[in-house]
Amino acid sequence: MLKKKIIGILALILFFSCEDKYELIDSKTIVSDSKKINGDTILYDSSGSFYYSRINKANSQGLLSQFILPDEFKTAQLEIVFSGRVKTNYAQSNAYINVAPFDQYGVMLGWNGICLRYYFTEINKWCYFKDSIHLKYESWNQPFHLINTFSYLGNSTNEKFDLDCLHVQIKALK
Amino acid sequence: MFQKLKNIIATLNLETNKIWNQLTIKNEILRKAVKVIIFLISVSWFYSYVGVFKYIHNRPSSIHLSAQSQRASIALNYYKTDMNFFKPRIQRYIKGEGITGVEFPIIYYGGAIMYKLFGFDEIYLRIISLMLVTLGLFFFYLLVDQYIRNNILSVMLAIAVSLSPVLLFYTPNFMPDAPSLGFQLIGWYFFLTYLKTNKTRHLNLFVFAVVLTVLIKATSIIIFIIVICMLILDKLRFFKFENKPFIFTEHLKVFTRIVMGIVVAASWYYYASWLNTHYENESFALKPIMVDNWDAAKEIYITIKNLWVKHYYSHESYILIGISFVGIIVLFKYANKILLTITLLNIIGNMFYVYFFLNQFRWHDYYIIALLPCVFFSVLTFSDLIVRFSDKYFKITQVIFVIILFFNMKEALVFCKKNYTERNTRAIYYWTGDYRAYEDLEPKLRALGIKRTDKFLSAFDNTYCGSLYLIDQIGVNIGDESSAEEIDAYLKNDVIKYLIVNDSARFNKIYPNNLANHIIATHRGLIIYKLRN
Repeated sequence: MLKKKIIGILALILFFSCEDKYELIDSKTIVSDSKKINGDTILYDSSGSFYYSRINKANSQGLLSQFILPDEFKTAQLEIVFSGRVKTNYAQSNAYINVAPFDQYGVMLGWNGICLRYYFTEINKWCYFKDSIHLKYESWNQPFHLINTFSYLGNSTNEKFDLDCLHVQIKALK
Repeated sequence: MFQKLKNIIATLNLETNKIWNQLTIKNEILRKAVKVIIFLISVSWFYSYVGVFKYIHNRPSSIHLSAQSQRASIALNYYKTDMNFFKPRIQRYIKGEGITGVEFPIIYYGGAIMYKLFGFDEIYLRIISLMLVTLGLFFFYLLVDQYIRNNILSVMLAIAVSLSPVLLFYTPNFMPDAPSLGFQLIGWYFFLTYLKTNKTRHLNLFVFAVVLTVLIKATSIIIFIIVICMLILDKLRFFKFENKPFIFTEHLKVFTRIVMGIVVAASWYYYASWLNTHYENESFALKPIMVDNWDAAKEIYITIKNLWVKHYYSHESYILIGISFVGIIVLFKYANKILLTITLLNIIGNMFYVYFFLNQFRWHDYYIIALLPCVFFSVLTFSDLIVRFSDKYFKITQVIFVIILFFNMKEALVFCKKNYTERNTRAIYYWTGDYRAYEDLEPKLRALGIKRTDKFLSAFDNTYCGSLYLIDQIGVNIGDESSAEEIDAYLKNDVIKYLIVNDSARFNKIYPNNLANHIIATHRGLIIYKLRN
């Protein structure tokens, strides 16, 4: 009888999922808006009838967005998921999507980014991407108050980095 | 007070014995079935928890992508070029046919057969490796159970000793080290069973398993040497027991089979060396790489200490292994003489292995896998000691041992999962660099009319043939340190038709050129140039 119980328990363990679970805190779709431009310019794609953001100056940023973290997630392990459509004219692109956490005094704690080069399967064509960044409170040793996300063009000459819209999801490890 | 304590222990012993008796299955067939089921459930849960099934579809990636793709390349070339087992080929060559000497390619040949049957997918190679290691663990579990006679504790011990992040990473992988360990464990099971039964069948299976492990990884020859040492010790009546003077009944028979096994294995390595010389294509190290001075040895020691020790085992596992060693040293008089001798001979044999291959330990984490039987046997010897002590004096000791082992394993499991995830997570590209761009380029190359035999020059790739393997092209690659002269020599070689570059800025800096008009495709940051028709 006991043996059966042990086997039963082991079988239960087998079917028990051990994945890390993330809880969605916030999500936004950042679209190109001529009122909120930074280092980018807003252009119109006539074939698809939509506006998109273009960065063509090195070390410039665009599609900036801010996420204020609720108190219970300020020291949580965060996963920031980005997805969208991008285009470039440069085979070895230096385009990034960056994340910068800030503390309660508005001091930037650092930044981290996703290099989009991998997602450009063709040049001068819209390519889809989805990637994520993990932010650990332990790595910065400061609670996060605010998270900034933005597109960024690194040291590129003659590169035109286009971003249709940027979908951002902020998740916290349960 | 003392009497009270004695009474409590006696009551506890009585209760534990009662539960133990309840747990014992009387039916022989059912007992065997339960044994297998317990192992399968535990191991599949263990693999599932660590993440083995999650990353099993990964192409060669992460740490030692170079060595992984070298091995996977053998299977791919069997599949694509020629199924002649005796002509293993590799991706990297510009003259000749790419035939090279390699350790016995049975796993890669098995992978190629699967590719032929079900189409190309590296998952088959990973599954073959995973199954061989699992089979080895199963036989180790049976071996432990022969001594401990407790299924749960045996499976716990079999998993506890395999909780090495390095072993786990190379278990569902392309390297020969982990499958070789699997065959070693099978060999040891049949050897110790042979000592008990004296059946020729067990002896033959022992020799067969060990010949396979030696063919796959030459350093496993240690097992044959250990058994020869045991034969000599037995002749000197070292293992004299009350009821029988020798543990081997037919010394000459065992010795003859071992010699035959060594001859078979040596023949393959002789043939592999001949292939290297004959086809002038040496791709794999088939000889020891020794350290010739003390300073270099010290440097290697520092690297291992700072870099690799935390990958070999978790802190908790080190405690278990340490306690096993200390326990054996303190209580060696009570230890099983045969197990103790195998453990000691394994330690001595491994010391020689480390001496001959120390240089490889510096950057190759997987060299530790060959040392693991030493850990397996020390934990088995110690556990056997505990169980016999428990059976003789306090049954409760075994229960306490199970509880301690459970918590020890729990921590080690969490550590292994973290390490395994880090090694396999695409965001890290563990040391070798980001090779993802190459992984799905092949269809694009074929669509452009490029044949796999059209020779490529791949810049910059520091692995042996990682990029060439991933795009399935024959050719040659150059690393970060390459010079303009080297590049020039390759580009002027008429055999090379295409150039693939992952960092054009660096390439142009080393070798200023006007190749821009030769670009035929771009893909995820890679630029492909057509050099000539």
